[in-house]
Amino acid sequence: MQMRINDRREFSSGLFFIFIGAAAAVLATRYQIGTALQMGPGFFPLGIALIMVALGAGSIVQSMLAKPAQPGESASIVPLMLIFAGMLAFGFLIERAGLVVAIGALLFFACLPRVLEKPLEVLGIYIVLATVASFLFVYIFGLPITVLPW
Amino acid sequence: MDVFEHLRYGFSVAFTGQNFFYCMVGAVLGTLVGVLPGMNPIIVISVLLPLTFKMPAAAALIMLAGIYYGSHHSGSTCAIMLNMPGEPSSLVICLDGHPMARKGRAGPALAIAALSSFFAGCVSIVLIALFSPPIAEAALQFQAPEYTSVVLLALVGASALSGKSLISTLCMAALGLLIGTVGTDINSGVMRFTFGAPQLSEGFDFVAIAVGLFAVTEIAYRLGRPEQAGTVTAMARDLMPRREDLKMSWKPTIRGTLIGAALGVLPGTGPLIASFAAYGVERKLAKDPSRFGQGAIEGVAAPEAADNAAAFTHFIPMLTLGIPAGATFALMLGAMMIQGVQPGPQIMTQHPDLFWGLIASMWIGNLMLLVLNLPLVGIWIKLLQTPYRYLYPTILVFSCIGIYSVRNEPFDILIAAVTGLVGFVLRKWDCAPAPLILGLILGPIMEENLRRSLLLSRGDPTSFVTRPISLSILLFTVALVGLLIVPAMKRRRRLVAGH
Repeated sequence: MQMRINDRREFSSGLFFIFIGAAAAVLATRYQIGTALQMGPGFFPLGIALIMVALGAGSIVQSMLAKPAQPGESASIVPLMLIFAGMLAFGFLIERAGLVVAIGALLFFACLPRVLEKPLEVLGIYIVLATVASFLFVYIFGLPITVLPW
Repeated sequence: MDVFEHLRYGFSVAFTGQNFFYCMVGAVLGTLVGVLPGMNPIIVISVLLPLTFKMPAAAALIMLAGIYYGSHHSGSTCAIMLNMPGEPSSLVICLDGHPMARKGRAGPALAIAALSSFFAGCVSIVLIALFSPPIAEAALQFQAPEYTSVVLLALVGASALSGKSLISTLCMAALGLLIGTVGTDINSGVMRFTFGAPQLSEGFDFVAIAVGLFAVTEIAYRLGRPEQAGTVTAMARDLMPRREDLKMSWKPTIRGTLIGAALGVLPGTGPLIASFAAYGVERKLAKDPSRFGQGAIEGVAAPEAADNAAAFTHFIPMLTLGIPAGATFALMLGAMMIQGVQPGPQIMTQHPDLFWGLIASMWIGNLMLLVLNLPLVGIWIKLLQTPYRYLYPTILVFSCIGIYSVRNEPFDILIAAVTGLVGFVLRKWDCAPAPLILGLILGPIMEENLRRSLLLSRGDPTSFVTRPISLSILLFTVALVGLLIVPAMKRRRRLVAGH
């Protein structure tokens, strides 16, 4: 039988789920499994984890049996990384420096390519968003968020 | 009790100042979502979810529902004018709607779409009002084993109908179930999978996961690909459809409505399948099928009616059984649970204001959408062309604030960011995200009911198949899967035989 990975995506996801399922199964055994009559905290997670491993194996098999599939939509990972950094910055700053600063950090990272191209445009977006968000969420909805650092 | 009595009560609830206002907000937001590029109702609903916690349950649900069916109404505007579907279920409207627009007949296309949407909405709302009480009555017979089977049906059904590989979608559902087990186990008090992090003692905040999975992943993906601009067709001068248009559209509208109402009840992609099915039916029934793809008005009326009808009947499983038919409904369900409303057949009796108020406001919203979509169509067209670089920062800012506001916990933003990362990779592997949210929200319900079932049957797992209702639910689930597997296997067998 020819062992060619015809569907790379299916193969990768199968591998991923086998790994996650196995890890979860091992972790689940650290809790009491119990019996069917008296389900312990580990019973349900262990069951689901084992099902996931089985499904993942099925994915791997399917990836070899299926007809060769097109690679699918490819997307650059750079925007994702920038957004990730921006969100981390937001989470870090929101309680230490307030909403306005946190939004600034978020937009700086998330819109970095545009900041380098047309900084004034991003500045404009920032001013509008910071003002609207502060007004809407803190003044109108009354959320307990500090707006300004002082 | 008489249905009209209920509806009269519902309208009295829906017409209160607050509920009417939120209905309008929902309808407008929904229309915006359907029209703006790169937005879908899940993003908006997940971002607005934290705000709904401060609102009364009925108003919250009315608004969220408005966003949902509003986006289905306006998704066709994008499809007709830009040849880009505003919603996945509007895809089929591009086929004949856009050619009509290219021929200068955008106005009649939009008008017929709006009118058939409205008609379909009215009919399916009546169907909801008529059929929900008996379904809920029957569901009151449900006990723990039936609930477990129904949750299984929801998860498997949503996976089977998502249009991607069944195995990987089931894996996503399983992943959602696993993520849902993190936190304190109610029965034993044991903290599962928390690794000593106090922020996880209540489990993951599902808003953070939803926003990360849908909003962050979507934005990251769109930005990572070259901009795909659609061509805008010139705005037709007159909006009014000709008499022949109306004559040719009324039967397809009725047919589409019936197809949509029936298929919308299925968990998963009810509206999507419904609109495609309606289009196919019209093509088969047409005297001159070659007109389709060139601008046949039936190709707009029927799918639009089906899409809208299905969008409304899609609510039935959630309102009668407490089972979400899709990711958006899972989020609405989560919102209800946080508000203290226990989902299930008892919603009708315990929260009649919520149930009948929602149904009444659906009709009001439906009417509002007719007004919004037709006369204001010029505004929507302008908004269609909003550059994405203004939209996505707005979504990100609102998302982060929303996530933080749930419990003032910066950790949740980290969770959302990480979820976005994982979601990005999973999307690259063509894994559907919706079943994960379903698993996450339904996980605790499933585990609890499984526990109770096994307790009831004294550890006997066959009780799921010996009880008649549970058995029929499970058989239906198998049938649903079989519908998908069989054609796929036939293809494979042919392939192997070819070697």
